[in-house]
Amino acid sequence: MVKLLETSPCAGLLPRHIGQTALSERPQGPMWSVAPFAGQKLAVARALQKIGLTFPEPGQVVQSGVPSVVWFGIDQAMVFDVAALPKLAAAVTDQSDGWSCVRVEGRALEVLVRLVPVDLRKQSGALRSMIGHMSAIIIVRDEDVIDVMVMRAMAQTLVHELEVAATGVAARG
Amino acid sequence: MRLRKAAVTVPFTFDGVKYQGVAGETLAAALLANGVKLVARSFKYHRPRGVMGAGSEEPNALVTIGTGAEADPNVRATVQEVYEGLAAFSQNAWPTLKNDVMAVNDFAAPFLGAGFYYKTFMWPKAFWEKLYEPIIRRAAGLGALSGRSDPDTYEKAFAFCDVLVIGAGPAGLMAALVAGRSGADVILAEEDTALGGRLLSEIEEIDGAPALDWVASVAAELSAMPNVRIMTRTSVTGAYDQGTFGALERVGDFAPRRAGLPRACFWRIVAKRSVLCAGSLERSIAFPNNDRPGVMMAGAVRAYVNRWGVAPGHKVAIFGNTDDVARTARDLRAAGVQVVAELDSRTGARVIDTAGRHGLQSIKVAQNGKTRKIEADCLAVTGGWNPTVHLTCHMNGRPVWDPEIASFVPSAGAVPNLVTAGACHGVFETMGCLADAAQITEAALRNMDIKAAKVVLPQADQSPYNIAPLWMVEGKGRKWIDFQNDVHVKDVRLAAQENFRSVEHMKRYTTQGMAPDQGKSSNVVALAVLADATGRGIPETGTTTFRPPFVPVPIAAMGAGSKGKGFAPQRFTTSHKASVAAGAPMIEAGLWYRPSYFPIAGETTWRQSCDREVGMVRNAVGIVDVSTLGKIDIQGPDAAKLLDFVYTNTFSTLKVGKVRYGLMLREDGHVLDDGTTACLGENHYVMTTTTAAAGLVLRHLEYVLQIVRPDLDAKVISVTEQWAQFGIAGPKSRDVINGIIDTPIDDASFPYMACGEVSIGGIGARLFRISFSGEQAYELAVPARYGASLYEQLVADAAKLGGGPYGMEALNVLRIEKGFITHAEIHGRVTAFDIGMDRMVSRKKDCIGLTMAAREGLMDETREQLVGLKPAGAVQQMAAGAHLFEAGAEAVRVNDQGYVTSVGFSPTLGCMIGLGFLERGRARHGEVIRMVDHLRGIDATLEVCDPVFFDPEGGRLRG
Repeated sequence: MVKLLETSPCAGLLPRHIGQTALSERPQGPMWSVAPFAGQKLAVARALQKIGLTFPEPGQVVQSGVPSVVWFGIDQAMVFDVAALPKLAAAVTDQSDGWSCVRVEGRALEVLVRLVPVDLRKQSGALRSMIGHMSAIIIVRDEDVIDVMVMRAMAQTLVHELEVAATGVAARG
Repeated sequence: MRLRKAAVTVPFTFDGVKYQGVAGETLAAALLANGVKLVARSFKYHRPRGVMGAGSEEPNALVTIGTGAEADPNVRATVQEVYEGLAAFSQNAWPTLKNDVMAVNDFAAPFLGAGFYYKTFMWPKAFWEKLYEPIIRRAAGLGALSGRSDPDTYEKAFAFCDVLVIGAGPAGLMAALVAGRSGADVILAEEDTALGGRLLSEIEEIDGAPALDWVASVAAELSAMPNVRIMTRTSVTGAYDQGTFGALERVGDFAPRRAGLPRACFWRIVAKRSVLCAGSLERSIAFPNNDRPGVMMAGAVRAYVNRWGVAPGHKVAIFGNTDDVARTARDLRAAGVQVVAELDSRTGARVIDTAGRHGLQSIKVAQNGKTRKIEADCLAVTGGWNPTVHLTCHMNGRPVWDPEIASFVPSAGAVPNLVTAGACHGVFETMGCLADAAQITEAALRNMDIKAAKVVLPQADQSPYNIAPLWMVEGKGRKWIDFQNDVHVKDVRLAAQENFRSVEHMKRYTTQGMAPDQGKSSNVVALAVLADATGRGIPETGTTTFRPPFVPVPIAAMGAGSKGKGFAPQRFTTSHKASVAAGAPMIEAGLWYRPSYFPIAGETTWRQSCDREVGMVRNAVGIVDVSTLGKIDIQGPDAAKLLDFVYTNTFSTLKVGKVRYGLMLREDGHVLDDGTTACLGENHYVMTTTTAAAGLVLRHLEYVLQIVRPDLDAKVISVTEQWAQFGIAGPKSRDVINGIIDTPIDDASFPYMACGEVSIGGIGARLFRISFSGEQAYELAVPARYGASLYEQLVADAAKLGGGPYGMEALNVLRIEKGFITHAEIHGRVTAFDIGMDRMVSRKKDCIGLTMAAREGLMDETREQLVGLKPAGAVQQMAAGAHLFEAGAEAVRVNDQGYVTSVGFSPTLGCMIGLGFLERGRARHGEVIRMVDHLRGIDATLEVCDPVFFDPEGGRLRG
């Protein structure tokens, strides 16, 4: 029987420490897109509540232990770190392999003001924006811990952009 | 000459000569301290010029910093800070600054006035572009670019605030203090290295103590506020829509280069409110020969003496029309500098000439009916102050004339949510600036529902301004107005005389107000002279507008991050590393990188590899990464209805486990994209798009669902990146598949156009039996984390059967042999009718583009239709992009009957083959036509044929 091996999106690229900024790849846990069918948002929220989550409002991140659900777009959420979802009246797709997720720690805000056209100081939770030329999901976990996600195939560009920005921040001292 | 001994100095060079400067002082201050007066040659006449101002408005003292690729031209010496090892060079002079050959222009000046070029270089017409313009451009000009790629790094960044305070003079400091104490989120941007504005350069008291003490205490308080961000060395360069401002921060240009440190950062600052406290700029007076090195602005002279401790001359004369004459004399005397004359025009004194070729030596003065010569090596001039209205003009605001101060002040509301305070608001004395800024800022805060904190105004200077306008002094010699563009009074008068009477026309005719300084020192004087020449008042004459940027911004700063790899994101497939390791040249396709071909030992040209790969697929099996094709997951009760609505053909009849090819139209009836859609389960489909159109098609589906058919209950999401997908094509493809998947398939269980779930070592995968090569072929998809591993396995297994990987070149040949289209054919101007797929447009249901595709002319038999093309003459070459003509017809536009879209050498058929569009093409199969590629110089005879060259019955793909 064929045995397939796993490769992560940022394999060989991370971790990196640049000045006081640390860049690391988030593990590829399960990730499900959930888009409730017409009129089913409440039902989906209720079903998700059974596993400690809910259907998030725009920008919202709901955490329940390790599992979390993150607003991802119009009537669309991403459920993280839940092995199998309960049956939902929603379009569900497996997105576990579709995204590269990099955690920026330390001088995260200073690094990301060079790349993201949104005032991250006033953000907590998730937003869809840009990182350089790439559309991205940005999840502000804490003042100095920010996760950024872009399409998997753009992992190398994401790391490159973050490295350049972090180098500029570090060089200013 | 230094007025106080510097404790520590650093070496720097100007034109290769070594000098000592004080780190942090401006290059202009350091040059004056070393007695260097001649620093530049003027733009057109190559007149000797010296430092004129002390700020970013400097028109004369432009220098180049550094050498080679790192050289920065047109840097203002009044802004550049001195550091150890700084190497500055003068510009626009040859062979040396002192002995500049092109100064011959100055002697020819009577013939070189404004408009000279337009009148002189009129004929022959062709000479302008090829001869005259290059020569003129070489003779005139400022600094030159190195012509090499800039090795420096630059940054771009974003900032946000409630209140942006632009300028940190007394008004700006007060505005920031009020906003900061009120708890607003404040950015204070100052282009100087220090806070204080004019207070840094004047001798004034605030609350009975030196004004700089007050500046220091406010700076300390602001620095301590967490809600206030102070950005020095940051010039706000432009005001844009919705409270957005551009700003250039000088980051690394004031110190030796350090790895990783950007030279500058271009900020985009978004502010809810902004308070412009940009101060004012001093203007000169147009008197004869007012441009000699040593003739300076009085405010600049005070800055050099008071702030930098540098005397610009040993014998200083002062000429002006305000109380600043007395103020300048007072400060110079206090500093121990000899004042040789105080010439106050309000008492009738006039400077009527100057002397000294490379530096001022004397001035000629007329007063009380007498003239006299005064020895002086520096003349401090003031013609009054112009509020710095520039930013208020960036959104089409026009400043208004204020006769009280004889200058323009900003019009209210010129930029939404921007207010002006202090000198740029027309309030010149310090006390007034403080009061004005406090009041204006309080109002701005109230306007955004922030309660303004109380700030007690300190006592400050209230000296009156007392200006009596004086624009120019008549006399023999050129009276310079725009020093940067070499425009003088006569030029402006000539413009008026030639009926370029509008201020905008005068500007274009004379070039006054153009170039890096954008008329900062010259505009008001120029239009006053124009007003006089046309017999109108200044308010009627009006002013030209000011456009961004306020100060020059390196293109490299605005384009920061977009160089090299930063230009566009790169998308890499999971097989990328393996392809590169196999020596495949990678080509970019819709940001993705895909292998062109896989050279093996002995192959020296791409064609050898391509031919082998085509044969491999036709005879054994080939592996190709097709992950780049768009994959859109579609679910919902109305998913099939959505597909019926976006595809021309019917999908609601597609059964679970089956795949169908579909064609999609734009709303205008032309082809948008094509691809296959697989039915994975009830109300669950996965749509495949072409690589380049993946984003476009997803957007199209979102548009349909959100705007056109919100009644449809269906959800779409990209799963392109989730799945790594590989094509396995060729007569031995099933053998490879069965070696990989856990449960083998056969033709009966998995016929052509079947799809289904399979597993590989227990890992869920998807298998599709579809073909883009005309062979029996499959596409196998696994979650992307397993992509690299699966690809390696597939290639190894294929190799055992005489197969291997194939690239884009072979893929292209294979599909041309089968007449399969790509975006080379469906390029946006063709219809389903044109590509022979009209029968795929179902008339039994509605779809996007159905009605528009039936428009008159879009189904006309005379249209250019898709055909196959192959050589029929001695010339065997074919080229995509070539045009088609009737045999024997002249290859000119009016005879054009079509064009070639794709070509390739078919090793299967042994000749070149191609696809193209030809008028009435479907009815002309068998006809011999002419193909001409005017670019590559190919002229060939072709035979028109069916676009399907190989296995037209499709027996091979059904296996």
